[in-house]
Amino acid sequence: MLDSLLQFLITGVTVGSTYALVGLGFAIIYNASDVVNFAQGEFVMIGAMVAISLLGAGTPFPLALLLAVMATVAVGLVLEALAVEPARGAPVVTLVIITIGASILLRGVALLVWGKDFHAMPHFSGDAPLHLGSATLLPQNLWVMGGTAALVLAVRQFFRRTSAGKALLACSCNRTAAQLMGINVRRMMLLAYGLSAALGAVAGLLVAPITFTSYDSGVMLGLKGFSAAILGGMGNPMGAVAGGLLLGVLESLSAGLISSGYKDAIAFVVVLLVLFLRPSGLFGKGAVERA
Amino acid sequence: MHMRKRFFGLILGAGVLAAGSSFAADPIRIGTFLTVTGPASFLGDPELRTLQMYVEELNARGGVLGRKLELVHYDTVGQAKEAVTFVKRLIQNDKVDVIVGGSSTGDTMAAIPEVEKAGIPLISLAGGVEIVEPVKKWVFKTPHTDRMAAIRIFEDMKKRGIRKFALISGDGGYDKSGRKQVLELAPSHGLEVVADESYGNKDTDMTTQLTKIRATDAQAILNFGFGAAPAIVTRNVRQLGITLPVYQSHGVGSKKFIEMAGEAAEGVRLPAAALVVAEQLADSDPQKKVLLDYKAKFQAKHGEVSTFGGHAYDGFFIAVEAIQRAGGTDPARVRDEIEKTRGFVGTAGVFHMSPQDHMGLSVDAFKMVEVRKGNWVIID
Amino acid sequence: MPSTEAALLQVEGLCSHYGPVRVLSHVSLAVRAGELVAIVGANGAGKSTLLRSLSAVQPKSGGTVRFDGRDISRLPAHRVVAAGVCHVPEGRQVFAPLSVEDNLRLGAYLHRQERAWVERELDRVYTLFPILGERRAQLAGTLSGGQQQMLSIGRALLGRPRLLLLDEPSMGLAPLLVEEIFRVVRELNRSGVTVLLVEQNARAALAIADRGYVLETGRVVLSAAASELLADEGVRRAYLGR
Ligand SMILES: Nc1ncnc2c1ncn2[C@@H]1O[C@H](COP(=O)(O)OP(=O)(O)OP(=O)(O)O)[C@@H](O)[C@H]1O
Ligand SMILES: [Mg+2]
Repeated sequence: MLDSLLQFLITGVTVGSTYALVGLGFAIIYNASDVVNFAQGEFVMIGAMVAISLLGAGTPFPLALLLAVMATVAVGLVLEALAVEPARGAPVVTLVIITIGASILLRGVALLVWGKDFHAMPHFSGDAPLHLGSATLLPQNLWVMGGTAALVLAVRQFFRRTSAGKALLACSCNRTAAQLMGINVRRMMLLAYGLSAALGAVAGLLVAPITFTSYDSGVMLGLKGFSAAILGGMGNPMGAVAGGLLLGVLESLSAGLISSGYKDAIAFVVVLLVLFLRPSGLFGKGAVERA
Repeated sequence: MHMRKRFFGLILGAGVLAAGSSFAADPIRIGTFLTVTGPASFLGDPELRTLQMYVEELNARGGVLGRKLELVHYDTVGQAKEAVTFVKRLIQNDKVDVIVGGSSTGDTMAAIPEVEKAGIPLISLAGGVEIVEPVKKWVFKTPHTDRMAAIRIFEDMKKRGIRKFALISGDGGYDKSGRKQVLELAPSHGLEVVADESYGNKDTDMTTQLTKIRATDAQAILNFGFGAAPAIVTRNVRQLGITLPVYQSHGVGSKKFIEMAGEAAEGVRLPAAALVVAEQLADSDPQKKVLLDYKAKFQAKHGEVSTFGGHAYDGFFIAVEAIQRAGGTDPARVRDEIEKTRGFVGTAGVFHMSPQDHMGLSVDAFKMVEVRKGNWVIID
Repeated sequence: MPSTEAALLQVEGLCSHYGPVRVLSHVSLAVRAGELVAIVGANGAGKSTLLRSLSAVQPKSGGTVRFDGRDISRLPAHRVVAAGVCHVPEGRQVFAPLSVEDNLRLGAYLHRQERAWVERELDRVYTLFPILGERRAQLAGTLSGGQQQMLSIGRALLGRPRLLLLDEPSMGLAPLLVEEIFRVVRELNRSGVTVLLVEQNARAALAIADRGYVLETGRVVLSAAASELLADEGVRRAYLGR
């Protein structure tokens, strides 16, 4: 039983790490612009797809990953510049609809480029399982967990230590005041979208070897990442990370200990319950500082 | 086989009479409603392409009975409500003579009351047993059923001395229907289902469910699933160090599965449609030529074939040959002729329909295959 | 009137609209280097809109703004700040979830490379407002209104202003604090910062100002030396509550 529990936790943390990275992307853009970017899941898909294509074309591994992140960042920047920015000042609902439209468009383009098939990516460092007691995990699980931890810490340091991070925070709490500090708010919005896109792309790269990617892979991940961000308190990046991990572990434990048929329902009920008891999420605004 | 020759002979004759593209009489209208776009487009897309391809081909050869074929198509996007509307329109406005379609069981079931009321023959391309059981006067279908797949798997398990197995399935319609058949039929085959796990079709990791299965005394694992999930299950099984035999359903019968699951796919068994292993069939197998022809034609135009397109091939030619035999498009006579289809060699198998059986395939239409060295090998 | 040559800020025919509603009509004014100029006017006269148009956080629909002889009418807000125009907005607008010190450092965003200067300037602000030094690690949102106003001014000072735009620094403050704030504003001006001060508290503003403009429904209706305005019968009746 205890062995099984360990296995459930490993699975939960791996899956939760992906949710966390997607949730973090949601939180950063929401923070910077009050927009829920529903194309966040598509960033994950694009990152993985581009890398797979490049690898297929013979690009060296690290270069392919790097280019995939850069391509996704470019998509994020274009999304901001061509879809979100022109609608600045429109009601939030309009902006949300724009991002939903963008996600559908991105999926459509992905469908044209990569077809309906699932695509596999090679593991970063082999797929020989590692044993931890009687639990097993793949080297890729470690990549996912480690990569997520490193990124989350980096994002945290970015907001805490760098002036660009502070400036982004400033934009998120008061756009006008930020402008009065001489902060180029336009550039900061691009930074937020670029950063979120990069996070999404990396999430995609980390999990692609485990999961397979298709043009619509982003839908589910986007939804889970959104739940994670809500669970953690929408404006709180570290809350989104905690929410993602919690959601992943919750799903895995529900499946393992109660019933796999109800795991999503159980996780969903818990999210609703948390929001009922704490409408601003576990680490919602007002509770603590943001980052 | 012989029927096929006669059929092409007739077409040729008709072509000469019709002299090129000038058709004498009214066209023969074939209606169809498929999920060409949307989440289940993997069904409707190859089905529609197949229908279009053969309508074009037959028309180029002079049509059928000297009449041009006309395909009337609606895209249901997988919405059963739309299916009803479209079938009504096919019958009332487009005045089709026969309907080949319904990509999914849901779409087909929704359409059945309309065709039964209007008295227009319908040949469904969907898998569900309930389409033809109980038998409905005007309704037929061409694909194998998940029940046949389950039975084929059970037979193989018994041969290997397996008595207890674990079931893991997804949350899609295909998965759920398969799961139901497995749970219903296993006891009567002397098999015990010791675990019944499920996962979301978009889930990315099934190790939790498989860890639970590992703790049971199952002697094999059966996964009823579709898309990427079965490949993930297969990889997770090996990752957890589970050495039990793994069975998949006919839903993964494509090269893509092997490609995705990689080495973990080695030894996986499943009941596959003959199309998947066409090249490996014995030359004496009547299906071989039909399959290779269809494959070559489809791939020349559209890329990789799927069994779904094959179902459309079967439905289309069963309809055309019935019209041929009926000597016209009187719905009642066409229906009777469809029911009299005997020995039609299609992609799914050799069809023998009867008043009691509106599908006409037997369990051995499925070939039991195993993955060996990255390829499907027929073992039974 | 000051001559064009000597003016640090020269505004000519400035117009601003909210949608179809014109809020500023052809406002012209000038501020010479070293001056403290007050703009007084009733509620809704357009004082804040004027400052917001000057610092370009609000679009202008006409007119020109010259700063130090250079046309800055079309610069985006962050470039206006870079030119040396720092704006302490109405309602203080501190970054509530950030610490006092982070707020101040954000004020120096454009000068962040000049580390030594920033540290010196921080010290200067902490000397000017000792309470901010005591609370440097506290979140800005937890400060009192008066402290937030000090923070807002301090933050603007770190932007190295050549012209400081102050929008109602006394708003909502207790009389003692109001006095304190005005004392600091005058001190800043004496130390060489040119100030354009917007106030509803016209008496206090004109008391420390060199000159003043009276704004009424988006138009400049009067401009004179502060002492003259204080003595003007019309102004007294309309804005000084007598
Ligand atoms: N965002 C806005 N949209 C529409 N009208 C506005 C907006 N902001 C201000 N106004 C209008 O513009 C006019 C000028 O407003 P402004 O804030 O510049 O006045 P003010 O002189 O600063 O007043 P107060 O003393 O209240 O600060 C007012 O009539 C106000 O109602
Ligand atoms: Mg105002």
